[in-house]
Amino acid sequence: MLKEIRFAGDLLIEASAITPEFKNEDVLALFAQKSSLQNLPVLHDDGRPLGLINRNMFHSNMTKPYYPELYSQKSCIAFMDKSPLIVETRLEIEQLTALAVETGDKVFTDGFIIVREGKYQGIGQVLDLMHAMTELQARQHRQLIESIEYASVIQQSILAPSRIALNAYFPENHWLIWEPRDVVGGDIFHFIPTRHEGEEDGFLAVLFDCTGHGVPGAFMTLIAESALAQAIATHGDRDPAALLAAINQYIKHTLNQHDQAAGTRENSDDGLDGMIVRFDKIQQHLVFASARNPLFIMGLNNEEAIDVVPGDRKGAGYANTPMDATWHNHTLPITEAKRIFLITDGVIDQVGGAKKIALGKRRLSQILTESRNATASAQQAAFEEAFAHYQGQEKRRDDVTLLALDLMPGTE
Amino acid sequence: MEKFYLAATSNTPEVDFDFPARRLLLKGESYPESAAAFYGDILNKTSAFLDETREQTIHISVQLNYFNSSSTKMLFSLFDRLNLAAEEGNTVVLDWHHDIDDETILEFGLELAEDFPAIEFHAHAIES
Repeated sequence: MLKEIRFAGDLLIEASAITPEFKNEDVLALFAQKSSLQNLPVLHDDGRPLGLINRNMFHSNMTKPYYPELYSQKSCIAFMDKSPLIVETRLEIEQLTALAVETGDKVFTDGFIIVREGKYQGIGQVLDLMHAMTELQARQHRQLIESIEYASVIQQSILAPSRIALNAYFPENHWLIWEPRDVVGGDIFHFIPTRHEGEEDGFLAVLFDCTGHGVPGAFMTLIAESALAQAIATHGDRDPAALLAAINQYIKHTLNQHDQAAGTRENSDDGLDGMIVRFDKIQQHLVFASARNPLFIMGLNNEEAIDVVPGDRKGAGYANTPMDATWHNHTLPITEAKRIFLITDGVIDQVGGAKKIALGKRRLSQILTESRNATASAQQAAFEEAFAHYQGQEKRRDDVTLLALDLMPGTE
Repeated sequence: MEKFYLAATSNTPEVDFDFPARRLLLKGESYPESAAAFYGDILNKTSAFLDETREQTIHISVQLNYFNSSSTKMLFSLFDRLNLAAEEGNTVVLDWHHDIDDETILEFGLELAEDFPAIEFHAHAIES
């Protein structure tokens, strides 16, 4: 591998230079001798650069009528560029690039002079600088990606227990898509079976869509996860609305949104949208509370339209959600098999289709309806295909998460 | 007050706030990495404009086909300020454009209309 180029000095090409004592006829001879010689630096006696003679510029002057006669015996500074770009060896290549751009066109043909403490060392070429900058950007990009990929390992390990619990609870009857747009993301899910007097009696399923995506979104998921753990420790695992209210308070405290004195513009206005679902298989009902996200409910043994229950219209956390905000619990009897879908807005709002508009709840319901009689994994495959088809060539706009869970009355 | 114009990028909308003509336009998509940073200037300028606008008609046209949740919050702040201007005696007319098949954008517009009743809201379904 090539040496890492970070400074102007790393681009140094040794090149012989002349002094003002050289006459134009000497310069003519030098250019004639060496056809590859494009530029000739001119130095003061003490080694400081004075200017740069460009081959083409020189020749175009010396071929003008009478110029050879007039100038051959004159000092070579006549046709010299007196203000070439001169840089110190220690200058970083990012700054060098900025200077080169400022210098303008001529730097592409003339290159630049490299000095150490003002004394001439050699010259540099813009093409080499461009190569070095491309390398530097690739290296910086690689470092960033490696850092985010490592962060992803951390984020995935937070999700691992829920994945395991889902697979154990619903070996065949669930499906899950968790796709952060940028390796890590602001969507996070949580699943735990619940117990009553030692017996498993249902589950608690959570899907949060934290503000932002990428790294800031991932930071928020860590806060959300702690908020949830603390809320469950305090309020138990049966009251989704109470959990959302506690999570709201936790986020606002953690991000100091409650601190009026700290209420500057830089203050956090972050939080989460999300859904908390509690299935009680002994009482045969579903209790759920939602901050903005709709819950999709589909009968498994009938052809009824998918029911889309909207969430309460406030997010948890966020500056304008009050500290004492409450959410309300929906209770839905589960007397026949149903499949519920917890969905983040990355699914619903994805732009695509012929018109490049959001997928929307109606088209999403349609996709899910078309595969309603399929097994969970077949429905997942059908959804993935339809979603990819809808997205087409459009970019992902947001993190995408969809958790589908089958609810069976009584018997499970 | 001078016009305020920003050309659209792949993740930010065209912003054409012609304050002298009292016509404001947002058009395109909005999912900047930091919505607070992108909208900060827009909100400040609009607020300054509204501070000195009395008993006038202000038209705002919104033609967005995607905005992320942080942009949503910023749009609420913008309309909150416009609603205040309407309560103070201005007429604020919001022309909310959405594709005829895009119920997501329409629903958001209807939420705005509900939350900010002082603004005169017109939904325009675009057939394409």
